[in-house]
Amino acid sequence: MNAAASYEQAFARFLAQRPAAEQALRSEAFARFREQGFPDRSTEAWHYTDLTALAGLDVQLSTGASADATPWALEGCSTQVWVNGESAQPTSSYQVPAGYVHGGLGGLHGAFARQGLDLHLAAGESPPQPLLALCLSTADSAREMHHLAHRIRLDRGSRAIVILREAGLGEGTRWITRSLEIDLADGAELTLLRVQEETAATTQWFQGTARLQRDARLHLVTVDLGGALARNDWRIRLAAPGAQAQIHGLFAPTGRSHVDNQIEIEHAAPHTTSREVFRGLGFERSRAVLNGRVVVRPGAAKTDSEQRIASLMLSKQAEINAKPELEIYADDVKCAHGATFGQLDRNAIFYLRARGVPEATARGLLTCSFANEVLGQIAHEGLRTQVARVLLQRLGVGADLGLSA
Amino acid sequence: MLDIQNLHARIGDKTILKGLNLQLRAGEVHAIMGPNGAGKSTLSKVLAGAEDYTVTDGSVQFAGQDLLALEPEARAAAGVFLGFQYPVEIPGVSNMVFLRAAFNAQRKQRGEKELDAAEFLAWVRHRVKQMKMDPAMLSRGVNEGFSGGEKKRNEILQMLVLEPKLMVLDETDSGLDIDALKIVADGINAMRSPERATLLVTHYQRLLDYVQPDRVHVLADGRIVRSGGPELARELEEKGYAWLRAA
Amino acid sequence: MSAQPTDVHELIKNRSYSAGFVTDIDSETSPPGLSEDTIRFISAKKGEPEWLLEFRLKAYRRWLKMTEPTWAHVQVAAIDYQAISYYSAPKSMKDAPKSLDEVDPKLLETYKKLGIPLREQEMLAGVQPQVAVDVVFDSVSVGTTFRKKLAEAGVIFCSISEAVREHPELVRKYLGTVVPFGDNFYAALNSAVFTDGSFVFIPKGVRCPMELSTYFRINERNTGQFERTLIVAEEGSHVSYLEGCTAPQRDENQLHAAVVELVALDDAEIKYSTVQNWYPGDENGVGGIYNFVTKRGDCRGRRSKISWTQVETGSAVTWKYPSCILRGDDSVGEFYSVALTHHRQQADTGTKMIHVGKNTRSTIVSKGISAGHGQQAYRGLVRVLESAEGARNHTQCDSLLIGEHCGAHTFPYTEIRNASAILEHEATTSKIGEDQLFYCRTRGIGEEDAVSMIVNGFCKQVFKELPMEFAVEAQKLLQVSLEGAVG
Repeated sequence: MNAAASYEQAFARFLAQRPAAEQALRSEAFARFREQGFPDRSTEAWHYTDLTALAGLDVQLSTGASADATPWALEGCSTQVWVNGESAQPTSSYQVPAGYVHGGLGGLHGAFARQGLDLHLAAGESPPQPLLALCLSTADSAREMHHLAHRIRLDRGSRAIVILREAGLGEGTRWITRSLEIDLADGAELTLLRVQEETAATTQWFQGTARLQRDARLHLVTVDLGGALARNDWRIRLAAPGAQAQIHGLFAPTGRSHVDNQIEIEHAAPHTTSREVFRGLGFERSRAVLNGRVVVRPGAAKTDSEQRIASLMLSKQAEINAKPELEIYADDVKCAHGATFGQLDRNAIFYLRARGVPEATARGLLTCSFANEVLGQIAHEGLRTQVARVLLQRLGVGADLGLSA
Repeated sequence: MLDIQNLHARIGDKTILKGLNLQLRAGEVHAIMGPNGAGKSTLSKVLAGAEDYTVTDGSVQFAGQDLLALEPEARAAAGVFLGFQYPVEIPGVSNMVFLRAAFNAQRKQRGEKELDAAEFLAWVRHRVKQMKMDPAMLSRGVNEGFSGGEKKRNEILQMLVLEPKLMVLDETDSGLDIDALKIVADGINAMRSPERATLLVTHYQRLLDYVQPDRVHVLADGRIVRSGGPELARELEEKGYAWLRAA
Repeated sequence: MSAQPTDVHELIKNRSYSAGFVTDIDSETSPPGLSEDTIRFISAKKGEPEWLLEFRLKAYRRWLKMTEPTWAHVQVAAIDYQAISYYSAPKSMKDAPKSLDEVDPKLLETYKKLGIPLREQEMLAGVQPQVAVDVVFDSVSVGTTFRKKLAEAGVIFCSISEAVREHPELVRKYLGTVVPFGDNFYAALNSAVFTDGSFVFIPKGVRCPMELSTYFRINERNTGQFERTLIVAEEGSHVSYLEGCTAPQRDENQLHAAVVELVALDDAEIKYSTVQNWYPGDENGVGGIYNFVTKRGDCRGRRSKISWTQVETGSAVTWKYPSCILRGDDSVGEFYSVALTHHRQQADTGTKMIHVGKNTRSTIVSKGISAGHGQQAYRGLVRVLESAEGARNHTQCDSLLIGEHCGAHTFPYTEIRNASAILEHEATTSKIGEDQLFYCRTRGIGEEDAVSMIVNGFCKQVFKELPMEFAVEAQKLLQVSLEGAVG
């Protein structure tokens, strides 16, 4: 499939403004996009999500905009803000991110992306405050697009908490791609909290890649609350013994929103551990997809992996598709996964009602309790409270019943 | 206060209550005893409005209202409290959130003023102390990871906080060690007043050593088969339930 | 369990594929190649009516436009569809034997070697329960037993070719209604060239008086087997059907692309059991059957039930998903599977449960065993449609790994479009523990026997779904297939 002329034009204009050093890399990336285009549903990984409509879109690159970031600011964090992919602060030199799940899409991102967060901690460093990377999108006119690439490198034994908060305002339709490359050296520890609250007119593709060296630890909490179409591809490679990944994910699409999470954890070395807990809520006419894939490479003995997915459908029109995959090429492993779909516990509803809580509130509270398995993992109280408030509101429960009481 | 006439109830195809009659006046404490499977828990759950049970005949009047016509939350607001035999765990919803949601929802239904967070905290605090519980439990999930005894104590705490008119306590004594039993009994006794009535549903006489009942009823095969004073409980303790069936 | 070490060695040396002998029979085989002419030849050979020829040609034309599926987790050498012979019949069948007495004695001998008694008197003499057997040898059915007794009950059990002749209205009414002719690449190929298979019809209210069974065997070199099975259970009827498969040992890969269609009307129940022991190829992956099969059951009626049980130990490559479409309200689908891959075997197998009707229930129990360089994938789909109020599914999917070069993979798809659905999916992967083996050995149980014991325990849940005599056969099959897996 060929990219529409609008991408060509946007690229030509964009390239002309970029430093000469970047031009070859960007052109190469764009050529890949030109050649491979957008993924279509004939590929297994894109079975439930169709981006082909983007090809025919008459897009334009967002130009510098400003937005009031205060509603999304969080207490006690050192903060950097990007609006439509651009930052007021100076950014480091751009490198095309490598290794994409889809060549065409990766090419598009690599061609257009601006440098986002670039965190590099030296050995043993540990910043006293969480780092908040606030990525806002606005669109005054329709069909704007922007692209942003983040990077986190933690050297030996360093530790950080990073909050990646993505939020949208304004009415215009928009198309955003974002990437995050994570490298954790021996013994490094990263807690990453990502909360996506784009507008209902936003199509968004995110790719996170992480490589974990010996005894490195990644704790990822990922929450999807918004977007018309949000697709997240995570590739986490446990490259050396003792590496551990822990993922807590919540998806709660509403309206006609479509959220697709594809998470692959690769156990490439012995004695590596992964834990995944996902909670899904299907509101209104939303559609959610979760594909959790655990791959155990030959020789990755003593791999210990567990995946738990539980979903609640809160509307007759909602749809949830879940696929917890295991691909195992070693025998001395402990791998398990479970997926459940169900309703709220009738006994618990009765218990609440018997104490005088009306049924709707009881259901709302229990749904929040269900989601709390993930919410409780958000290691920043202010952010946790805000996410809980959004959920309670969606559930029609007074926000004064906040879970953080 | 409570007037149960000819109550019949079933779960699924199984009829459990088969014409039960019981009258309870304000200020009284009655105990219902009986062998396993007699219908004790069914009676408690039917009074609280559990949907799994279908009332096929009879009536229940509570303070002049038709209790059976009310939703469970409306019964709670009217003053009926069921202490669960198996309290439910609700991870992620803290006891504090739970109690305040229940307390304010009941007040709202009764048209009373709701309490704000600070006022409510004051309301709850000394009751937690009264039950000799760790105030830290308020921020833990409802019954989450509680031992059997802690769960039962939490039921009584909820009762102290919500101040109901009719307390139906289903096997609240089971699973308690002697110290916990005394605390639970003290909680129940603290609630005794001329305006309130209590129905203790129990298999053993143990709790009745600490909470003196006015009347004791024996429930067997869905009916009250005998009623008497406190001495009936001791008689049951000595002879078991078998002699009832033989009689 | 009582095998002496020497016996086990003998078994490994000589009996690793006990069904792998070739029968030397004169047969009439069509020249290799596939074209409309081949199809006309097959159809004419079988004296088929015009509508069936049309069905075949439509399927063929669709097939020409299709490509082989590539999503399965298997590696398959390219198949040359023009090098396969699409029709092979033992020559002595030319004048269609009227009864088993006229069947080539060598054939009867073959089945005897396989342990399948074909003669009714042999079975009647034995202590085994009565099982009516239809036997398909390469492309044609060579005889069905107990036909008279079945006819008395109103049950039709015969080869599909015969059903086309004797009961054309029934075949025409149901053929291709569960697996349409263009369903997938292999189903389209089968619809174009299918040669024989079994037909079962259980009329209203009849409980089939005995187990029905079909044995399939590929004998000729370079032939494919494309059998087609159709089972129809009318209102309130009940049938249990068993299928067994074998093929001789050959160096080249042979293609087996069957289609099985089941239809259950109101309150009907079909239990379909398979013991698949096609030649798996040798330990280096040379030869073996490509087993690309489409099996699907349609719970068309209310309260109908279809239950699939499979024990898959054979074939070089298996691609198979016995499925249930739970259309009728309160209908029930079940899938119980044991699949074993050893040496270079590959299997991508599982099921689909499509919940359409209200209060439909499904159960999936899949036990995968991988040894040697075997690669095994469970691929399952549970789909709950908007209309399927109150649907329930329970899936359990366990893998057992023996040795460090094998692979076990799980791809469970769940697609839920009704909020009242309750689903649970559980999967585990483990290996046979050194401590388990050691414990058995300290109690005097040999290593092979210990493995076999542990594997049998692992599969118990599925074996108990099989009719008794098949359960015994399945256990033996696993034991033989696992030889050499440890040590």
